[in-house]
Amino acid sequence: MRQFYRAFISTKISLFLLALLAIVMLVGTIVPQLPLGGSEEDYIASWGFGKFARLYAWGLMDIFHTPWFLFLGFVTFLQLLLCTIDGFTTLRRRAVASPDILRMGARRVLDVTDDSMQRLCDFLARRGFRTTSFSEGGSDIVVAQRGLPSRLVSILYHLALFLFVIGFVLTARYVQMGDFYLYPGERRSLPKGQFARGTAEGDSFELELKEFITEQTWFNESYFPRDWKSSLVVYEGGEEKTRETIEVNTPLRYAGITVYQYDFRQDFKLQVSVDDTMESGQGAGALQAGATPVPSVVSGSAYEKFRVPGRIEEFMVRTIYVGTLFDKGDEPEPIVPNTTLYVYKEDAPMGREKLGTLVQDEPLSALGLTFTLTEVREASGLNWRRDPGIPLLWFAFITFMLGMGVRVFLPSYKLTFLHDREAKKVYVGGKVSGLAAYLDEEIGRIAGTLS
Amino acid sequence: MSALSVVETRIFDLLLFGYGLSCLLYLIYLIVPRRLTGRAATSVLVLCLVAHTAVIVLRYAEAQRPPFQTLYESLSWFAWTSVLAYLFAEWRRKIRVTGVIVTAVATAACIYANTLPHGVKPLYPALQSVWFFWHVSVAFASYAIFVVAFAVEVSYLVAARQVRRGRGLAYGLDRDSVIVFHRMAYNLILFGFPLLTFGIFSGAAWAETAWGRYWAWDPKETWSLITWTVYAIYLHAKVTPRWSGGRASALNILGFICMIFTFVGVNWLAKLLGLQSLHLYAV
Repeated sequence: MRQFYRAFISTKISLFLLALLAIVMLVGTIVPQLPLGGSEEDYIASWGFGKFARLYAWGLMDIFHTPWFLFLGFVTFLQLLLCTIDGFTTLRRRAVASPDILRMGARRVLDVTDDSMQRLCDFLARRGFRTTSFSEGGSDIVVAQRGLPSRLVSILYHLALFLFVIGFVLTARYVQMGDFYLYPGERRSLPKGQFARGTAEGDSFELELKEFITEQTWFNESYFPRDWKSSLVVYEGGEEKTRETIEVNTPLRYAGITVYQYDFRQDFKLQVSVDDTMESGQGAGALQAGATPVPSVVSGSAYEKFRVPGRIEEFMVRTIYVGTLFDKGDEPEPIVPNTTLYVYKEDAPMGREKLGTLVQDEPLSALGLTFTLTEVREASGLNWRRDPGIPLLWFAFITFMLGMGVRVFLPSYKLTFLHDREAKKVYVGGKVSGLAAYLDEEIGRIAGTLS
Repeated sequence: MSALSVVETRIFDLLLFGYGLSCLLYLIYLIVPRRLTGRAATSVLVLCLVAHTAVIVLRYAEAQRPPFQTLYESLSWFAWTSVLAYLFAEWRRKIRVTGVIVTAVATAACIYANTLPHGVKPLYPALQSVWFFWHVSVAFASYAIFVVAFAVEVSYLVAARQVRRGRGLAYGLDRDSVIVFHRMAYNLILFGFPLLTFGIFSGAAWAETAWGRYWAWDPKETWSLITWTVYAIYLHAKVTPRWSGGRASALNILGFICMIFTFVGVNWLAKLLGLQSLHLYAV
């Protein structure tokens, strides 16, 4: 059992587990992962059912949530934990090799006099070393250390990795989230964070969208998205608590909940009538038999197909440009709502054909009809999240970076001096860590003092 | 095209030639190790770095944002940081024999960048964050250090082979001087690894602020973690007696390949396999 334990916490097993994780992650980037996008139907259509079924059965299409990946993660986590514990126990032991090993591993052998060891200790103290002296096998041994012990620092950042894993587990197990759309003036109730101060189970607050702001930049003779902002008001018990304007990288954090700006929806109304300027019957070819003829008002949303009463074709509008335009003139200017109108056609490239640009209150004639964009309404797409893993992950990150920073940049010395009284020699050995640690130079200085 | 863009494009074209020339001079120095050739190679590279700095400054002035949004800009930034890191290492440690590899990487990055659209784009709303600068610049700093570490490691492998065959003396190399390269590669990775860690974590923190989740196993995220894992394996291998030699060298080279794949390969992979990725801004 002990042999198995020692083997399990060996560096070789660490290497093996890390390599295995890397290989699995690699597979996860070659096989499309269903949670990232694309539907099962899409993949069956492009690959065929057989290939899809095989990949699906092995969990390769959601590899990072399969039991065997989680098991692999657990084994790595366990190994990390045991290695950290083992590191602590090693740290408690006096880690000085026997006199014979110190002799064999010496980097330098110096001839000394009787008072040399006292001079050495004084010099080491002046150089900021902490020294411990003891005798073993007829020899005096001095262990000198400067800086934080590298093993302790190593334990620190391995412990941080361990905390990372706990943070991931907390997120995976307890995260709560949801998304919704709000039109200006609408309210939505959200649960309060469980760990927020003074919060009881089932407490909630209300969120109201006051205004949704869209900004565009004029770039290469067209619109380029500049920002989307939601002006939000938080109510608790009918009382206004706070108001904030959020945007993509500035979420609202309130009572343990974070609300993000992540999407928008655009609804429109189109007035459709028969184009009087066209010759009789020109636009009537596609009329459905017995259908209600135009004029009519059609409602729809951007990027969703819609039909005009009396017509068999399907139509679609893309992004409706609204809001404020920057970088076209000297001053920002309001955008007259406009968009592009498409009709779906089997023989057209990408299955649809552009009919023209729809500008609010300006009629567009196409297919024997006149389309007029009369109204545009925008909703803000928000999502909320309560993630108890985040504080721990931040703590782990800061600990890890501090540990790595100390390990890499700050010098740490551990020098050993074996004084052979009979032979009047000192065997100097040691190890250092940190990019700014220079063992040979330090030993050189010491040799200079002793000689 | 603005006047700044025209100047920038012309300098960038000259840079291609400059980096190519420097690479050639380093190669000649490697074959015939004369001090004059080595100095000429370094001088040309320093000139290139100055010109490249001008390109970066012009780009910054034109775009009014850090110049690493598009793939063209990222490749240019990558070449610049790699050369900067190399010249610093060459100044500190006299590793001129590794110059040919770094300049070859910089030349390849610039050639690839030159095939891409040079136009300046405004920042997408998701990129308008303080993390944009820190995440990208620190990640690229780690990439630059890994490029130099890779070059030093390859030089070590080649030099060790020459020494084993008894041809090391022509280059003033013996067993002890060669092992210095191997140790230096380790120190460089030790330096780059925390930076890569910061790059990954700052990306996660940014994703948490922008999208509400810090990790989604997006191909770019996953490949950055693969790269991190390979370098973590390397660092562990270096303290394992049987792995600290040739196997560690192989891991260093593998880490470099993973890093390059994280940088540019993931974009190709996403296009080729139709993978969804939230990191396709830099195309």
